[in-house]
Amino acid sequence: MPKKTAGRFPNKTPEDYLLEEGDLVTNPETRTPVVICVDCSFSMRQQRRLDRVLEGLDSFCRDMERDPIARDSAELCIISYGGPMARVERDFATPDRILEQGLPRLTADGATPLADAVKTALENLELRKRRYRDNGITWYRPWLILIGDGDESQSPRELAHAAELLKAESDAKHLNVLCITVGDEQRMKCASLMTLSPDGRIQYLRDMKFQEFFAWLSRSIEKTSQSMSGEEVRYDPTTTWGEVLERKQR
Amino acid sequence: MRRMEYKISLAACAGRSHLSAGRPCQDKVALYRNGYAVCAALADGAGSCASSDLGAACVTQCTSELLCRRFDDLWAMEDGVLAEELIQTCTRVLCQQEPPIYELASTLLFFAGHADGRYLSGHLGDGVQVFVQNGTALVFSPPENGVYQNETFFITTDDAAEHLRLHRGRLEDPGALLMMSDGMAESLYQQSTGEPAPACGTIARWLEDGDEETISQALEFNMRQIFSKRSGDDLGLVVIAWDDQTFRSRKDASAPIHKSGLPAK
Repeated sequence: MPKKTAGRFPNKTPEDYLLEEGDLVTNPETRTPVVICVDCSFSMRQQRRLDRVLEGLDSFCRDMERDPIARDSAELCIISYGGPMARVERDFATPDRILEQGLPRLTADGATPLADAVKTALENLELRKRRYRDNGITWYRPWLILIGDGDESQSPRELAHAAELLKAESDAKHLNVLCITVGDEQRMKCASLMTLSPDGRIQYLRDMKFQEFFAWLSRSIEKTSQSMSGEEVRYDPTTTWGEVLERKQR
Repeated sequence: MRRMEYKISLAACAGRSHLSAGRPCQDKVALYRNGYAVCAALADGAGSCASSDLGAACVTQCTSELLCRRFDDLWAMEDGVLAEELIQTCTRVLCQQEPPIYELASTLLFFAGHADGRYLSGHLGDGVQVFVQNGTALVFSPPENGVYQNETFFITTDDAAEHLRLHRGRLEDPGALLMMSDGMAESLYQQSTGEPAPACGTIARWLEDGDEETISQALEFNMRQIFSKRSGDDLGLVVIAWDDQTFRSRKDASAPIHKSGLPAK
């Protein structure tokens, strides 16, 4: 094939120089790992709490799927904690992949192994970060979201250890931790979530506003995935869905 | 004695995020040229700093002019001394600006070439430098991020000189260097493998035949048509090609030129 030269193509304009998509890199987005731990203990049957979490998760994945940057950036991991131990229901995957697989079918039964959920989440997150490192993929600060309506049922010592780990990760700015309590305001059991929250503050999900909460979460992740170098991400206020509860000072 | 000729095209444009927020483009590019040396620089202003577009503009103009005017002097310095000199000179210029210096943070990438073939290049923070020769593109200087992608090193940070990665040498054969901000790198640098995209070779080839101004406009055209759809970040790209024979379409470079961004249309 003859070489193109300025002489042969003397009137080339800037518009004649157009790159092809195939010559560019694939999925260039920096990843935003998000771990959502869902309480599946017996009490989550009340007021269809677990069903409403799943409905919110479904909306969340669809919101993420619609955002052109967040859909390639966000990677979601869903962990259930109910009965004897926590379980990874969906390993890290982009929202469209999670929707392809289908959301997990969760049933509410048994106790509340909250500390085990934190341990499982951190272990799985570490594996994911190792995979990112091995493949030269960069990532934004991960999110860990704990949603529940009860207190740790198995080991207070494990709970204290889990709280220490979360505080260390959060203080080092290696993790965003968000603790959400749901349920009856009069009979609320949220001492364990308060213990786990690095700043001693949790969000009480008023009127079971799961849709509003997950819409806020998707906006927050979209903002994270569009943030620039050195930029501190400012999230929307949580007042549309939550009420801040603080740990009492001793 | 051989005389190395340089052709340089450059462009920067605001990304979708900044356009929708009504914020200025924080990626800046600048070019300075005199009778024996040429220097192009690119800086990406920190997203968290209100006046980082001004900081990036100051740093690119200061660096490109300094390296051209004092090429031999700077060439004679050891790397550590040279890094300190460059950072301190930029910092002095930033201190003369109205906003406080911490509002003027930016990364920095530069390349200075002498007519005798000697070159000096530097890279602080994220963005990528890609070297292209005989159609093969290789990463010359990769991004340096903090723990996370949205954390990097800036000219205003205390240890900036330690993080300024310098390269120097003598150019022998024709080749090209691409310098890009992190927004451009999202399309031209495969993070997972640390390899440049094939498009880097294509862009380098454009300068073999096209004139500098047309290719600068072509870079901007591609930013608007292609790259802005793949990244919400600002976009900045500098392409430097060199050859020891006079480029066919190269314009007369004997008069000093100081140019920032695209020429006026």
